[in-house]
Amino acid sequence: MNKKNIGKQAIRFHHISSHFANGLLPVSFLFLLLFLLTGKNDYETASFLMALTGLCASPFTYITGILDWKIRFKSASTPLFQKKIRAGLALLIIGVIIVGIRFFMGADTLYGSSLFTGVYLCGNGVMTLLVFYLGYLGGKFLFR
Amino acid sequence: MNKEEKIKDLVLKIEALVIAIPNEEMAYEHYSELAESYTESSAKEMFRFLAEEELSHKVKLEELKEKLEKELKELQEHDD
Repeated sequence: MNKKNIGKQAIRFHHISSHFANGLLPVSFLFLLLFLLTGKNDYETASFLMALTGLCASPFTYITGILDWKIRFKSASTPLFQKKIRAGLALLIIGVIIVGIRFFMGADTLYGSSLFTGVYLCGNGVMTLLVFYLGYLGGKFLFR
Repeated sequence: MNKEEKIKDLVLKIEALVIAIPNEEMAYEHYSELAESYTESSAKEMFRFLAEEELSHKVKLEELKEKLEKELKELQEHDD
C-alpha cells in the first residue's frame, strides 16, 4: 500500500472512529447527570461503559488523525491543526484518568465527597466539552 | 490593517488553502476513477473534463498558497 492509499484509509478510519467518541462521551455525561438526579445505579453503569467504549476508540481516532494530517495535509503547522492535535491529546489524557479512577475505585467513586469524586465529575464535563470542540474544529475541514 | 493583523489574516488564508488543496486533489481522483469506470464515451469525456477542471483548481490554489506564504515570510522577516 503506497503513502496515498494509507492516507485515504486513515481519513476513513478517522471519520469512523471519531463518531464513537463524538456519540458516546456526551451521552455518558448525560447519563452521569441522570444518575446524580435520580440515584439509579443503572445510569452510572451505563455512563461508565459508554465512557470506556468512547475512550477505547480514541487512540485510533488520534493516530488516524495524525496520519491524515501528515499525509494529506503534509504536516502543515497552522493554528487549526495545532488546536486539534492539542485538544485530541487532552481528551485522551483526561479520558484515561477518568476511566482509570472509575475502574479502580468502582461505583463508589460517586458516593462521597473525596477529591476523586470531584475530579471524576469535572473530568467527565471537560471531556464532553472537548468532544464538542473537536467536532467543531473537524467541521471546519468541511464548512468554513 | 496593522502588521500583526495582516500576519493573522495571511495565516488564516493559507490555512484555508491548506485544507482546500487536498480536497481538489481528491475530487480529481474521484472523477478520474469515474472516467475509467465508464465505457460510454460521452460519460468518459464528461468525467475527464471534470477531473481536469479539479486539477486546474488545485494548481491555481497551490500558486496562490505559494504567493501568500512568500508574502507572510517577507512580513515576518521585516518583523525581526
